[in-house]
Amino acid sequence: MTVTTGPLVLVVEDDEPMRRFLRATLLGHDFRVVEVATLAQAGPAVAQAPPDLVLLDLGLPDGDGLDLVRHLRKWTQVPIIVLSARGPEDDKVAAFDAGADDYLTKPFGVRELFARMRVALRHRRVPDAPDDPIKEVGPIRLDEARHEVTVLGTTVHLTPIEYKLLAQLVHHAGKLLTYHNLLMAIWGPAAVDRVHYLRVHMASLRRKVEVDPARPAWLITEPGVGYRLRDALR
Amino acid sequence: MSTTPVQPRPETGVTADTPPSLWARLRAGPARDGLWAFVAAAAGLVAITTLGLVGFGHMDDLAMLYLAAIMLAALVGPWLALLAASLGVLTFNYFFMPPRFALGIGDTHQLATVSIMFGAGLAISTLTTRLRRKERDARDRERRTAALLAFTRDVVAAADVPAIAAAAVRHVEVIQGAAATVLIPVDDRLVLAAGPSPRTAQASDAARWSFEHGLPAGRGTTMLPHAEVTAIPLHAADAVLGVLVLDGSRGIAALDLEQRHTIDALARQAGFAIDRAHLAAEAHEATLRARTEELRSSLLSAVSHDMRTPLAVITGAATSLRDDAARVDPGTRAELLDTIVHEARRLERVLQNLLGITRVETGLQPTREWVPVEELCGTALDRLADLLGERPLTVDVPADLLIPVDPLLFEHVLINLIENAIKHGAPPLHIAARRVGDSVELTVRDHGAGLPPDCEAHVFDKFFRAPGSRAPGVGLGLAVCRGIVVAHGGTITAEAAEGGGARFRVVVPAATPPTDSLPPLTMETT
Repeated sequence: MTVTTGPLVLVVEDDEPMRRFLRATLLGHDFRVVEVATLAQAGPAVAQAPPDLVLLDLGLPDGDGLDLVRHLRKWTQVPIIVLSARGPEDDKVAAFDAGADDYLTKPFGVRELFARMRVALRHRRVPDAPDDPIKEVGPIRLDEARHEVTVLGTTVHLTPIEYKLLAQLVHHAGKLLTYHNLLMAIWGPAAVDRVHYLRVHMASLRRKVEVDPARPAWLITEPGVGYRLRDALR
Repeated sequence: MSTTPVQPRPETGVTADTPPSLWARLRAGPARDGLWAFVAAAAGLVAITTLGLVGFGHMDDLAMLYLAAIMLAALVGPWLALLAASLGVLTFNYFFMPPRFALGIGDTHQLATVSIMFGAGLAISTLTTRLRRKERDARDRERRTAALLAFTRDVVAAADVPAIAAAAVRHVEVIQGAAATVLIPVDDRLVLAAGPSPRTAQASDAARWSFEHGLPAGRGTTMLPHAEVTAIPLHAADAVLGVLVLDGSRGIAALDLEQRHTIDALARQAGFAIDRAHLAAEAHEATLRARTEELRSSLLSAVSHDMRTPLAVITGAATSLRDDAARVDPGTRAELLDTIVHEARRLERVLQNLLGITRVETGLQPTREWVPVEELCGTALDRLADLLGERPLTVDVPADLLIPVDPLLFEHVLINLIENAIKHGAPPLHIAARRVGDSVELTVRDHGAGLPPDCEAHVFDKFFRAPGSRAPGVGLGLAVCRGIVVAHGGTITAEAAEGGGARFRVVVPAATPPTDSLPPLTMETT
């Protein structure tokens, strides 16, 4: 094992093979790793050596991982990616509500894991970059000074709602935005339960941005949870 | 005889065809009839006496008239007959027998006259009474039979023990004119099945004793005779299945024999009915258990096969990479790794369908939302990206077509239909959706060999595998599809597509798409 200076990752996971897999993979990519197997160990571990990122399994032997998310959110904004073998999407929504940054359902591939970790770390270091009015993600170029969107160099005309929707996703490229996040940002608190508005506008946005809107390459649906603009560096 | 109106019991639905309670009839009817008869008989006697006094008729004729009045009175009732006979004899003796205007019997002829008048009155009243009792008995029997028949009818219609108990309470109340309660044992405790709950500890004790010993207890029995209720056990062939409690405190001191017989018969019937209901419930449960057991064992065998195959491939490929690393060339190495990933994904889909069928089997409550069909297709195709590879596929879905479904469940339907087309059909695949009247129709077709003949109806059955099919699978995917679609109130069918291949068609009701206007933006874009 080589001594590295990469980001410190706290792995909270009770399954030994899963920990071994994560350790091997993370160390191989120059991360530093601290492992704990229980909720009780997780709090002190965070306090002792503040991590740059937390990978958290929800089904721990001594309690619900979401309690740890809520606990950590009281005093730290460290990115938390939830790993869970649970299926029902309600869990995902609950995890986001508790303050998690992202969610990976087991089984997942390493490429997906690193993509999520990269996004989480990036959004942590650069909370937002408001100084640069031009943002590019893949073929999409958003010029906030001129209110202009181009896809592969071609200007596309968006309605104000579509523009706001795309701008939200571009600002948080790679990060999952829940229905709630998006409805709040675009329409405000009165509309947070009107998910079908969002779906309809997303459908028309896809028509303008995607090559094949039925197989979107960039505007990705996270079923039952929200939308995500695919990270350009996949 | 009686015209006492039947007390309607709206809560039980028993009204016009039910006879009034015996108790009510005994109290109200005869008393009133008797009064009228008494007045009539008295008037008759006064009239005859007046006739005699004004000098009409011979003394013997008057004797006959008195006899006639006594006989008439005797027709009404025994007590009135006695009264009329006594009054008649006394008046006749006083007014008309010599010496007139004095009581007394002078000779044997007079004695004979008085004795005949009195004797005839008594004899006729006895006969009338006997006749009347027979008539009443017949009517009671008839009413009892009718009550039992009505009870039988209700009990046959009763679906379960509470319904039987309710019927028993209803009919017993009609028969005895007071409240009744049925208690049934649950976990060795007697709980209320119908009627008001026993009000006193004594009543509960009587019920408990009756249940434990299988004998009546409480009022009118030797056990706990001071309880204000009578508890009658409800017997089945070899067990006591409940207790019928007759509330005696509302007026009826002790049941008469007739009521007692009727209620006994009713209690017997109720016992048998409860027994039958128990047996039916047990049979139903046994069938369910057997079906669950069958499902579990077939799931187990199918799943263990279907999970072992990809596991074997994964184990083989992984051990080859670990143990034979030196001899595996880069091309083979990449192929083995792909195989591992591919088989792991397959395992995951098997698991998904297993969870899916469990949810479908245990009753699914979809949460419907209006979702663009295009978005559902997008997520399904994204999940199947690896399996699809470069297969040609077209999607023909209007951008504005919304469908009211549970998005996660319906994504599962699409995934299974597309996976089915990949495994059993041949490319190109074609996914289409359109609105048809008040429904949305979604089709997935392929260009393979099509469905085997006569399989259209069975492809959605659990564990159905087309004869000779070599494609891997448990035969759950399409069953899950059907379960989910049906839970949405839709239909799913399979058919041969024109020009070859199979087409699966899903139709989901989608009456009123949301058309309400969008809320304004919170702030204009800056």
